[in-house]
Amino acid sequence: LIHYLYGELSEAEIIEVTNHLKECDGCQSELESLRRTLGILNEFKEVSPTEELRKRLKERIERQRGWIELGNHLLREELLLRIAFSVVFGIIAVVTSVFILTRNLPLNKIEPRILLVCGIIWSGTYIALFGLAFYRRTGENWLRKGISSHLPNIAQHTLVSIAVATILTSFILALELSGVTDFKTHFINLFRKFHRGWVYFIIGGAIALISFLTSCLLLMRKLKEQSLVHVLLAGCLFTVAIAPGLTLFCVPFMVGTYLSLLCGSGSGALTAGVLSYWLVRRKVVHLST
Amino acid sequence: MAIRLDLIIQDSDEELIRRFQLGNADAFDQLFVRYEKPLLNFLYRFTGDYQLAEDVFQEAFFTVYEKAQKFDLSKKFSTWLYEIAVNKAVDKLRKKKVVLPLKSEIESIEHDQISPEEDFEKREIQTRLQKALSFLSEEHRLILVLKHYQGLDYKEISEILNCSVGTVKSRVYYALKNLKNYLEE
Repeated sequence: LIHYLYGELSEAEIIEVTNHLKECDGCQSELESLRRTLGILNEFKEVSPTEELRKRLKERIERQRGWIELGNHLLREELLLRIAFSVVFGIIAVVTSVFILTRNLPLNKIEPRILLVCGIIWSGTYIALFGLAFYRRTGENWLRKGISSHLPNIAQHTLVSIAVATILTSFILALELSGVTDFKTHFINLFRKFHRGWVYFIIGGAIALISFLTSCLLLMRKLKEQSLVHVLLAGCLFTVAIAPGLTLFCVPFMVGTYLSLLCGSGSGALTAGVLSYWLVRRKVVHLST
Repeated sequence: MAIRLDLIIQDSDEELIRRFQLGNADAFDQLFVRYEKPLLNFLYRFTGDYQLAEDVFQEAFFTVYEKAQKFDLSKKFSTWLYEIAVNKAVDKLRKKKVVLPLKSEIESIEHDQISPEEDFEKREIQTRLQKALSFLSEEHRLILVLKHYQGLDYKEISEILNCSVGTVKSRVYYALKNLKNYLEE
């Protein structure tokens, strides 16, 4: 009868109960009694949220949007953990690549591009491992569910892995250079190369701009905040991550060139960051769309 | 007379949360306006403690704000919201070991314009009801509030409480039976 009163019976069951009620006085009085109970339940007075409560919640949300809470947000989203995991994986990727591919070669014969390709291949393996981990944790097949929903995660892992591979590659080569060259001559050469690096500076800047826009598309969905700090942070982080890697793949590697590229990337990221901030402030674009 | 359709057709909860996921803060505000009263009433009726209800209310909406990006759009928003609220309320009740019955001295309770006699009678019923509700087990009170006051169907309740529809049916039955007995005593 309770389910009958709450309208939770099928059509056939309703007909059956209605017919039975016509014949059974006991059930009829039980139904009335239940109706009275439900009537009393309806007497419960309603409460409304006070302005104070609304204000408190609003303030809390505003704080969440703020800079101080960003750290907590990153921790909660396990972002730092993921990045740390990616860094470790990047290191493993490069060390293993160097070991496998160059054990019979002297260090100065190592092709940075080969290392970079290794980094990318390892990143692919890493993504596959991530997929497996995700499947184990949630029981959902993310390949079937749609890669696009996990694109930000995949992009994060790939970018960080490539960044680590790139930085380590340059570190290895810088070590090698300082070992075989006289320090003073090395620095003079470096300085000269840096001065001649303006072409690479422009290339770096252009690639930084492109990578910044890609980063925005892939990752900015995660940051709803529209503050300068966030725009610059995201822009610089991902630009520095992806631009040197891409550029190394395009031009021959030299330490001076690399410095020029980094400067170009930095300037590009900064320009893009300021430009984005201006566009957001003018409401020309919405970051999160 | 021309009728503006956009004033009549409201966006669904899921559409609003989708827009919020894309960065539209107004969409969250709309969801808040839509659910603030039902949620607070649900929590007050379930916990029996207005202060606790306010705390959980705040936490539940804050969680929605935080986790909105992870919300699966194929699911129903209200189910998700109540699930969050129920879990938080149950946690709080267990931690604080709140002693029922429900407090009646709430400033924000809406008072109707009624005569003193009617007022007295209504208060009597209120007190009886609150006492009877406080005698129910947490499980039964929860199911009754979800079914009777929030008007959710058995399937939705089973999703919120993560149990079978059969279990919901049986709990609703025993909850109302017990309540009726307490009221008649």
